[in-house]
Amino acid sequence: MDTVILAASLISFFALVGSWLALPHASGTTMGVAHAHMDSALVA
Amino acid sequence: MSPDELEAAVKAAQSAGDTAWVLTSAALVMLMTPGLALFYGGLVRPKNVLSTLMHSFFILGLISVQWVLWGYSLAFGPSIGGVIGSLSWVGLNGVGMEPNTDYAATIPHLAFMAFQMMFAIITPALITGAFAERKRFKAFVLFSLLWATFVYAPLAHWVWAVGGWIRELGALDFAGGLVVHISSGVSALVAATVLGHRVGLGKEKMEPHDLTMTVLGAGILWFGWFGFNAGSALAANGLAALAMTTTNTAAAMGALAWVTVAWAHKGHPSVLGVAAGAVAGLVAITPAAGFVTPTSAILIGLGGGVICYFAIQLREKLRVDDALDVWAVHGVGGTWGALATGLFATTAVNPAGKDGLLYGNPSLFFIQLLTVVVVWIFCGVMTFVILKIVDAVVGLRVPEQEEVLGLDISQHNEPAYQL
Repeated sequence: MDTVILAASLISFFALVGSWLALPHASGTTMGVAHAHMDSALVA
Repeated sequence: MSPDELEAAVKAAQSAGDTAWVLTSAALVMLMTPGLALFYGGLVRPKNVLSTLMHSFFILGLISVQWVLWGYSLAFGPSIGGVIGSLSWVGLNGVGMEPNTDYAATIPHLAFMAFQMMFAIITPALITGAFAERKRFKAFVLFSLLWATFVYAPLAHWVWAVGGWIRELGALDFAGGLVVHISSGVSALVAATVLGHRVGLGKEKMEPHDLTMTVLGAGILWFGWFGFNAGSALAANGLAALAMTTTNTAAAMGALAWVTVAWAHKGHPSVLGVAAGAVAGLVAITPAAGFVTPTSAILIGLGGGVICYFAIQLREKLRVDDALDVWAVHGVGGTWGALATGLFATTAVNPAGKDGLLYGNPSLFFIQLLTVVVVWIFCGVMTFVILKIVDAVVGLRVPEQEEVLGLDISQHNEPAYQL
């Protein structure tokens, strides 16, 4: 089981790293729009 | 030196090391409450920042005294039927410099009491995020005192005290997934529902007024959490080292996971997201910290970051104004952590624990599930009753015009900023 958990940990970490490369650059314009509709503190 | 003298010297050195670590951990956990004040204080509007800071700081005073007078005795005193401690330790009567071997054999009983005091302080402080920006100060004081006495103390007794019925059932809660996080998170959801929305919600911006304050608060929380979890080993030993490692690992993974999900969802890597995600990871690992491997902590932290993020989306759909998302982070994160303990726990790292479902023991998972359900119901019902009593006695909410003015002026007659 430890080996399975290690493999899952490696896969999840590299999935995060890969997603950072794939996700778009942030745009200040879209951030402003997102904030304008925000009514919850933690969803910025 | 004779063998007996050598053994005595070794025991004295071990006791000194353990005592130093537990006292240091108590101080670390104490610092979490001012850290929480900053975390919450940055998230509210500038007209409510002092009132939000005041909640945590006032509780630091209020529960410190309550704990010495009767809280510790109710929580950890000799058990009455596994339900509540007796009043025989009221005023810390009999709680002295000698160890209580039922709880920690190598440290003074007073050190154990002081360490537990800091948990009792921060738990009701966590709830304050749910009713931020609209609760009457008197109502907050009365609620906190009643909640610490009638919710926290019995729950701590059930889970951690010798003879407590959940402890006897075999549930695992290393540092407070049930006692601290689910209890505060569920109570926060009830409190937010009973109090109702803030005036202007959905019509005006309610953005965090100072994220630098919030990130600083999150950093202090992360730092203090080493005392919270690694201190729960109650000794300066390998178990404490394991708990510190799993704690840091889960916090890190929670931060990375939350940022990633929020980035994919909202289009930018949020600074607030990295702070909230770290806290979510810390919450999730709390019940598991001394029972799981560091690689399991990666998955537990990942789950904490992702699940808590989506819990916020759910809470928004339900239109419950849990202003600072205490339920989503602590209630849901604590629930995930408690269940994850039932999945990932292994006696390979802590022979005093149990194996979880993934290590061939499904019964632990079902015990964890049962206790989660019981704690949700107990805290939800008790909090609702306490809120109704407080409402009848002093009124829960400030009048609308005072809420619009802001609680810093209306409740404390002090502005946070001279602009």
